[in-house]
Amino acid sequence: MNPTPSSTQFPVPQLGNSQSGATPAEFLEFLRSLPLQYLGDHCRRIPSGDKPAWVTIVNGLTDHFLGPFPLPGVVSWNAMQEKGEMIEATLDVVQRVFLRVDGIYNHSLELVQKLFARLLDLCRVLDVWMGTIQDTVDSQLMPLGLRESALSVLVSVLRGLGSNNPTPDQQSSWKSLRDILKAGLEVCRGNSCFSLIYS
Amino acid sequence: MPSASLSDCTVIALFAKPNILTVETQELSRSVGCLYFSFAKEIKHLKDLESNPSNIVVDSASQVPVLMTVILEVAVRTIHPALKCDCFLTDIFRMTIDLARSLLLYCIGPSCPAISTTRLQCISNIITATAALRRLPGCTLSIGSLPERLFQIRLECGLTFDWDVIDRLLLDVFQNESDLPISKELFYLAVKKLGDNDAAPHGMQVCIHIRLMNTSFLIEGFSGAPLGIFTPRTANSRS
Repeated sequence: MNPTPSSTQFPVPQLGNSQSGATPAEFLEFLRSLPLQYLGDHCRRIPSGDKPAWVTIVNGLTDHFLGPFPLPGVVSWNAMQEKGEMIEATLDVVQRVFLRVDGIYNHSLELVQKLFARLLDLCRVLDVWMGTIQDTVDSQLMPLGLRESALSVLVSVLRGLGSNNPTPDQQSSWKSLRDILKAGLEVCRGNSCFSLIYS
Repeated sequence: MPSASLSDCTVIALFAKPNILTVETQELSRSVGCLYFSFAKEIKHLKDLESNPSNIVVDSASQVPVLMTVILEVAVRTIHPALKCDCFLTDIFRMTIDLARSLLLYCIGPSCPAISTTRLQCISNIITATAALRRLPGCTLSIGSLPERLFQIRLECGLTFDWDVIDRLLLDVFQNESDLPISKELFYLAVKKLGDNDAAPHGMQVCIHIRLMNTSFLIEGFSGAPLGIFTPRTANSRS
């Protein structure tokens, strides 16, 4: 994960860092503590001055936990339980950051685009998983629930973008939302929105 | 559609509806079809697509309908209920409706590369995702007829689907959305195809439910009235 700016008010454990020594379980606990301490409904809204720290956190979480999810056949669903729990906690943090940090949408188009791509891809892979799981345990995290969470968070972020009041020096929010949705719909129509250039 | 810029790639297939470009390139070690999605306007190498987290690379063509269905679901749930910038998204609304119609036909049609269970899942998601749009005024003809078209295809098509899944989905849709337009021709076709078919119990239930919705056109039809689209009536409203 990228180092957090100095304005961050809390220490962020680093996975795989021998100095902090945070295990996946500890990091999961940290992720679950964020909504309780800073992003809960009872907490005051986070001022825009703290936005860079939260953008960095969302960026890092997106890169690490919303990256490519293994397809069925590579691993079993049971082996993905811990990753699934990480993703679930990440989705909760991402959704709450976009709801509770003032000005989070301003100049954050790239972050929203990245979330759009990552969550679409996650939903796709979970859809593939859904058709493969036969035996389930009640306490298990299931692909359907995780997919619904990912889809809800993505829709929440996009609708928030559409309802945002941008600063005068940036593109209108409706244009940003329109561009993102159009890019997705265009690719379904076979109209690729990019060209490949070979050196 | 990119053409000259894809000179190093071999175009494997360009499906009719919707148009999906799948490519095979020597730059990638695998030779399966891929769908690439990117916000970037220019990309120097295909491998750059995979390394950028803002891009989507679908390894197998069989997963393309799944991704498109997810895109449809996201688009529908984003634009409905209406946002305050709704008036600026009319083209997105239109594109979403077009996608729903073409994607349904694509998933049912022979050019869809996914296995039948995946296709059924996609069809269910398309019908379910567009339920909210079907209730909007002005969308009856464009998207409100999707369940009816699916039912018609179910009756006429000979694909080896597990139709009971579709029958249950349609029964659910017709029960919950009793004001959907159903033509009398389709009803007659349903009676003919499913009337005595014990192998399709849910299909029979759909047939009976449509009959309850449309008893009025039976009377009008037998009295020699011209064929046309009837205003459906629910079982409750008749009583």
